[in-house]
Amino acid sequence: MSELRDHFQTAKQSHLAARYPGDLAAEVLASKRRMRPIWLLAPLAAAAVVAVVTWNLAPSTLAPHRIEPTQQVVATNDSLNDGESLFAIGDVPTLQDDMGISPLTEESSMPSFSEVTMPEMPSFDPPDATTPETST
Amino acid sequence: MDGDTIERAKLGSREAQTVLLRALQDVWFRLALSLLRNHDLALDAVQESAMRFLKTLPGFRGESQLQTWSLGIVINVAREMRRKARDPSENPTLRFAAMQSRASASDQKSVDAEESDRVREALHSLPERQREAIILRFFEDLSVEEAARAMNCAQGTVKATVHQAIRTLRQKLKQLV
Repeated sequence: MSELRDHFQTAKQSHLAARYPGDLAAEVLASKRRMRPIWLLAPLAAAAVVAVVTWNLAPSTLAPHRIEPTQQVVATNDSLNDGESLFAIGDVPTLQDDMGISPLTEESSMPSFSEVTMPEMPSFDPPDATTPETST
Repeated sequence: MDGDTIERAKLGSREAQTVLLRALQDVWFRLALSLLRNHDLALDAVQESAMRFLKTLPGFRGESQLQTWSLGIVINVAREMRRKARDPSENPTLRFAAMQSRASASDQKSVDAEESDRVREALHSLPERQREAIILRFFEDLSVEEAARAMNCAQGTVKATVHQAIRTLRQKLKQLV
């Protein structure tokens, strides 16, 4: 064991002589500080992109089109004079005096009638009842 | 690394986190270097470990030393990187870096470092768990309990693993000599 311990002592001296070449804290903490704005900005940028995409894809969902109530017209009879009705029919066109309701003349309105005669139809001689039928 | 600094670091104090990282960076690096055997991979492992350390620090309950707890993070990161490096299709860059490092290490070998290299070579031929146990117990001087916490296993497992590793190392060193 003593021989091995001597070997170990020599190797240990070499092992312990190693030093980190630099300032680890400066390297690591500086890199962490540089990364911080990225980590802060990344979620903000992602949220902005999502908001823009959502706004563009579904505008009707985000801003529903509201139908404004139209102006209500309430009928009142304040402006009506006595005897006037709200439901009065407007002026009815009047017939001219010389215009009759019935057709003016029978000739002008009805087609003229003339007697229609049918031409004589050709007739066939009636079969003779006494003529005997031919037999085979 | 007093309790007050740890608590402030858990609450997000940059100043306290800086103190902790500066206190831990060397032990993390040498552990990563011993486990990965590659300088660049070890640097990557340490930085990844630091990120995970800061992320999981609020969950540290103080059941063990902060350093012991943090070594568990480094071991996990190193295991993941080794797994990736073992599969060339998954990460050919890591594989190439490991090969390059091995080649340059053999070029820079000095006479004084030969014995150390022999031990390291024998150490790196051990299975992953045995290597972790030896480094933690004999190089970082952790107790069996601390090593078990760092390796996330039972104390008995650490004892058995160390025993087996020592037996294997003896045989290998005899062969190398």
